[in-house]
Amino acid sequence: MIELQKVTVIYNKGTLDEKIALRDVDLFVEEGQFVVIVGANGAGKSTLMKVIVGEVKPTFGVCRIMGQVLKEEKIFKCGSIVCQDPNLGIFPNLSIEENLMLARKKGFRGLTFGRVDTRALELLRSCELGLEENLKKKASKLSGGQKQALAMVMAVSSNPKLLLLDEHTASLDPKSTEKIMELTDRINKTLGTTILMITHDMNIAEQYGDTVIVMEDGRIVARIDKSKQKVQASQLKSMIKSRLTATT
Amino acid sequence: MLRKSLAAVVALLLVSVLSFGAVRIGITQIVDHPALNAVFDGIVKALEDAGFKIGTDVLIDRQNAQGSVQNAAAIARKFASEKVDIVVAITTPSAQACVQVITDRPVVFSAVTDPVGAGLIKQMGRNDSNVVGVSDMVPVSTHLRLIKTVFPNAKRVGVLYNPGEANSVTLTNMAKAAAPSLGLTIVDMTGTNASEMVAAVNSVGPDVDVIYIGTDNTAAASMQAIGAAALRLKKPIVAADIDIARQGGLIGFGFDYFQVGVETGKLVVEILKGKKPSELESHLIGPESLLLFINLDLMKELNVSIPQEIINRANIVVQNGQEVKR
Amino acid sequence: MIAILEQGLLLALAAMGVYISFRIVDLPDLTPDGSYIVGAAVVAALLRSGHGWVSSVFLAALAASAAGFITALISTRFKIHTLLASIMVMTGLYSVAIRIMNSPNLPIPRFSTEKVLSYEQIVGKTPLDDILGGSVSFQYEKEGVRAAIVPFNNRADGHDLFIIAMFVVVIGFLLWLFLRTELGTMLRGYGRNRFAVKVLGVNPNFFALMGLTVANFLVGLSGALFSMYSGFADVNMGAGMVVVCLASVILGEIIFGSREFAYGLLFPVVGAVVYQILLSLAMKYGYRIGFKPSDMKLLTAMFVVSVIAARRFKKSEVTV
Repeated sequence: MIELQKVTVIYNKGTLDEKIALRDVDLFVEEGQFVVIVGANGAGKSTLMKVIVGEVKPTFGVCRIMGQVLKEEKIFKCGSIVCQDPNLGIFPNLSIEENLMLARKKGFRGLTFGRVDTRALELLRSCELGLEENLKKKASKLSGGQKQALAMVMAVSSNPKLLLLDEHTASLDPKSTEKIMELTDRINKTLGTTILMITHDMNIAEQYGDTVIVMEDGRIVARIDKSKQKVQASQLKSMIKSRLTATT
Repeated sequence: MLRKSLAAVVALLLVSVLSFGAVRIGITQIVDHPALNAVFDGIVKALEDAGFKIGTDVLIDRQNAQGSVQNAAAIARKFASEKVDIVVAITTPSAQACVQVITDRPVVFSAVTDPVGAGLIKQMGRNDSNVVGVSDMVPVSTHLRLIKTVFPNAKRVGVLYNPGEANSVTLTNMAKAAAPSLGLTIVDMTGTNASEMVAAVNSVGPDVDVIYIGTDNTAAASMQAIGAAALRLKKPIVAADIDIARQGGLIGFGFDYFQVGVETGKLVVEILKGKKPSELESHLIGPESLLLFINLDLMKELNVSIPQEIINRANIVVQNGQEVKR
Repeated sequence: MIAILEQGLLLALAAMGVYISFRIVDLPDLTPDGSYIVGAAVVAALLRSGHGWVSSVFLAALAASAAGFITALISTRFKIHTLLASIMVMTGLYSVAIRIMNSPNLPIPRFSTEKVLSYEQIVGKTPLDDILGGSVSFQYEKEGVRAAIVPFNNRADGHDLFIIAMFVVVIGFLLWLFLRTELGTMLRGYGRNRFAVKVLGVNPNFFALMGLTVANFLVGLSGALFSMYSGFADVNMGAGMVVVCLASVILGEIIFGSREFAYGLLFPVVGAVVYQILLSLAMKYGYRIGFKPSDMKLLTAMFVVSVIAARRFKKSEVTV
């Protein structure tokens, strides 16, 4: 599904501001996997996401999605992303109904009058956040957790092969975080969507996903297959900490 | 105390009773300049000469569009919606605006160079419409002949005008048609406002021998600046309007606009007496109203020699800083 | 009163256009100052050459929409802010309009006229004739103009009002319908969140192009109808159009408060009519306190600024 071969990203190459964000990264994500990426700030997680999305072109190496090198933002034809800011994932001035209606498919629209997908409604209901009660409510009036849930449902409504999550629970309260993560897990298990998730929260990394990738200083320093090895949050924390001290 | 307030009440009643029968005349002009103001004065004189008292028999609402076509249209709409009985429109853009929205009352135009070309009336003379008036179309070919006579070596004549004024466009086209047979070339000097006109004088002025100004309202309103610019370049200005010439022109050969006003006022008087506009004739000002103006002081300063027989024919000269009427 | 309504509804069309660009797609666009006169210029030129008024108006609006399209194209292609791109386009349109009319203004003839002759041809000799040299061997003759067929009769008897109102109602209805469709809904969504449009697999630039094109179509339509109504097209007609339309939109928003139905399309319409009423009241009674028609622009601008400032104090959400 996702294939990064020897990807290196250098910002401002050749100048005094030169910064190596990714060093020689190899990554293989297979279809249906739920991969969690952790690391300290500046470890290169966001750059990795940008490379996958197509926003940043690797200075060396290649990134392929489903066998193809995708040009800028073409990834959204077959993939979705949910970011940290709940307002970015939804159309705040449209109703829940209209949001869902638009998310039904990817690509151009016509002059038709759309309907809401029943499956999307089901998914929404399963969040137990009360969103299905008033579909005509404006999305801007929802709470952060509700917005993010809506964003998640919208993201998968069109059956994308890939779901990218960039710290999507970071700005939510613990209760909403729990609900959103349950939803995320359900999406992976029932829809079979490939998920690549960046998180700061080690507890989440421990609880969810089938693979954990630890990044440090632009490199992947650990790949843990949960089916083969148990992972603990404290373990991850110390991994990151130790590397930090090692490099300084 | 009581007597005073009683007197006031009676006076008020009197005025309202008197103005009850009074005719309201709306007069609109595009911009404020001496020629147009002279027209207004002429109209007033004609009315008074016919026995109509201003303020009692006739109430005048005078409006000025301050150079904006939009304002002229707004004024026309204002007259249309109010109880104005007769509308007098001085200059082409004001007249165009009035003719458009006022179809049920007499519209008398004045100082419009080309009323047919501006779409005010179908033809000169009688028209079956509510529009009638006096045209101040000038003898362009005569002006060019005048230029050729005074400046025998002149080849290029610059016409300074605002291409947004239909009257000026017509005169310029007439000049262009007449010029070749006199061995002259017409050069456009255009500007839509005072500063653009001065810029035109400064940029094109050096390339021409004489500057000719027709009845352009924009030029008339900015004549001080234009005259100064032309003087700096030592280029003589020949104008088709006396009031324009007064503010910096060497020679002016045009109508006495007060007379134009009087002619217009006479038409208004006829309407007040009961005639319909369709019974009156739209006409040009006769050549007897043409006046010749020469600024002898400027002539000396520009080092130009005007033939004595032409100077003898001048009706108004400026000599030693004084204006002398002959 | 009828005349005020007529002018108010004519303005309403342009205000709807500005509402689309400023509020719905959230792209500040100054193109209308120029596209308004393009609409007026094209319709005047076409009517004078004998075209029917319906097709002339439609073509004029189309030409104006092209201006909006160009602004959006420049903005998206060269990554220039829409405001800046629109200023450049609007400036250029001034020259374009003069080219179209071949003059800074063009009257729309109500009746056919006869030939025009020169003074000497009509009157004969002038006083200086005997002492002037040279003779002019030409006959100046300018062809008369042909009457243009225009639907307005300018009699304030309700006939013109009906035609204008029909335009507003039909256009308003079509817009409302459009905004209900998937494409229209996404256009509305684009106005608040371009990123989400991208995530749905659509290039957001498409909506910038569509939004400005439709907005300026409406403005050009307004300009074309207004010039037919006034009987002339003048290159200075469009000056300050955007500010006046914004004032109308804001007036409408104030009147309706937070109640938003029909996607807010009624704001510009009602606001435009109210604006015209206020304008005519100001002119009528303003004369008594020394007002001039030329003061209106300053007052309108002051009004817009003060409302924006007042809103800023109230809530921080609203931008412009």
